[in-house]
Amino acid sequence: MSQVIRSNVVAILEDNVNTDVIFPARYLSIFDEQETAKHLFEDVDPSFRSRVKNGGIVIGGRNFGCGSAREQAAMALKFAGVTIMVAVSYNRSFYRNAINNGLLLLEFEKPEDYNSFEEGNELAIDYVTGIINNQTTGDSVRCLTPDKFILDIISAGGICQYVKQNKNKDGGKLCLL
Amino acid sequence: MGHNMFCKILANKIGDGNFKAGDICMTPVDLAFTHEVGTAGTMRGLDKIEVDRLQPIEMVIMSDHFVPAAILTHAVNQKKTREFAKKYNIKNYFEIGRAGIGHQVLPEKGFIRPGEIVIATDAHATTYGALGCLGIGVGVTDMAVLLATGKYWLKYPKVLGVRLEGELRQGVSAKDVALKLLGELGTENLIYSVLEFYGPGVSALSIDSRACLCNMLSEGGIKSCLVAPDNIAAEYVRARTDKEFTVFVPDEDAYYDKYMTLNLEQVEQMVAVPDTPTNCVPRKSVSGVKIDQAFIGSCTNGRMEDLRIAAAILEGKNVHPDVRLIVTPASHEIWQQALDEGLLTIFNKSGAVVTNPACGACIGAHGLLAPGEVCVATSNRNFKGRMGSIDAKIYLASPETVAQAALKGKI
Repeated sequence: MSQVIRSNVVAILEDNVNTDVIFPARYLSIFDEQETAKHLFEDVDPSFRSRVKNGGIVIGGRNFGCGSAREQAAMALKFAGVTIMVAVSYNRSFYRNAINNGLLLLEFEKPEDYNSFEEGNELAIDYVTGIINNQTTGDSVRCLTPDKFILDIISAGGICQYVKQNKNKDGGKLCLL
Repeated sequence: MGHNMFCKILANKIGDGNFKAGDICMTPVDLAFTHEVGTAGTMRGLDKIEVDRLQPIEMVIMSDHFVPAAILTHAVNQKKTREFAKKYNIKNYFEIGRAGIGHQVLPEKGFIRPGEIVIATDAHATTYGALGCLGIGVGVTDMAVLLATGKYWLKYPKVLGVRLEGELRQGVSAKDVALKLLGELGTENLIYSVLEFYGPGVSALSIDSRACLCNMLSEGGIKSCLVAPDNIAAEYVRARTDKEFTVFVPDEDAYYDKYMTLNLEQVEQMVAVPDTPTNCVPRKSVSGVKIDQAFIGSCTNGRMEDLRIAAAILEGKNVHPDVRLIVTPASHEIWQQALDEGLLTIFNKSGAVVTNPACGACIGAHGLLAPGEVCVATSNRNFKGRMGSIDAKIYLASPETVAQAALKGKI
């Protein structure tokens, strides 16, 4: 798996996007991956889903995914097609839920870099070094470098697969490290 | 330099307390709690990991979000939850009618003990900090991984200290304290961190108040929240369990990444205005906002103290003709106590609807708001669409403010 993701910015979202609007509570009984994607931003932006179906980068503001710890918010984004997210900051449960489902999230090193993108910009994101090159504008910004542990989970495809891999390494015992 | 409570609780499980912010730590935990949404989701994770034997972690399971089930998908989920409890022989499974909202039931039944670590599939697990127990809310895959491996991973956070002094003035509650802190500190300061309360002001707060405080602060994006346990906390726990526990309080010279002093006497009545719980203003600045619905309940403010305050305001009076008032006790123990004390009669005679203990109106399971309507609620989230239409507005406030608004038809 290459450590550089090339894709387009498909959406730039504001601060404090909460998990209730990402995935409405009335669907909380749903855990089928493709079914969760059907309700992504259903009440506030039903066309969002079609914009990410072929992949793409979502830019977020501060405290993205705040509120409920519901995993379907991260699942819906991942399984609707989002390739990677870059935001100023995330709610901690949303962050974990995304990583656990294999959706990588990066955070800007400088919050003001949030303002340096427009929808449609083509980006090359090196998610190991955290460097984003904006191919459209020629600009470059930095993200915090993700921990090795987080990258290992992402390269396994999610934490369930990661734990299973460890089992095979460690004589049949399921473990985190 | 001395240690804070978070450091001591974690060091008691793993290592010597020489942690630094950003360290990835793997810790065993004392208890896991899942509700019906969490249980169904956890099963997906366990299937993916291909595990059918759980690590020996004490578990509590109850359905509390969408009970009794109003639609078939919720009924199916609750059936799966029962089956999960049977399959893994979970002794602490509570059927509906015998428990209530998990975050209230767990402390009430003695499952929350000082110095322990509890992981729950719900963001409001921070509530357990009321008893000096580290409660952390997680998604369902994290829960599956915990049950499969016996370990929970966390990044060592920044720890913020708040020294409480003084006492709350008449009419001001823990909810107002939480809203003041959410408004002043904001997510910029609170996100990813652990917030600790200590100092002489702690003992002036009841356990119900501490639970409200720790619960509501979850909305700042904190990892968890801890109140230094005093005798009141220890007695609350001893009355409910025979299990031994260790009380950790911060050292006099404890390390905090940031600390502040809060004089409780200086807190005034606060309201969170639409559409985010950190949008907090003094109540007087939104005075006169007309409402269609008032809600008293939730894991934030559905406890005895809250119901007593509301009943004292509503007794012998009628809810405003243009307002629906919904009252939801947080647990069946509270429901019974409120019945015994005559509070349910007061609510009923005032024209309120008293519901069964559940997340209920807070999560839009019932009592929905139509487009254009306004609700003032004691619950914890005022996001667009949280309680029904995305074109409705939600204000969050204390039981006192909500009960008064229900009578006047406006905040």
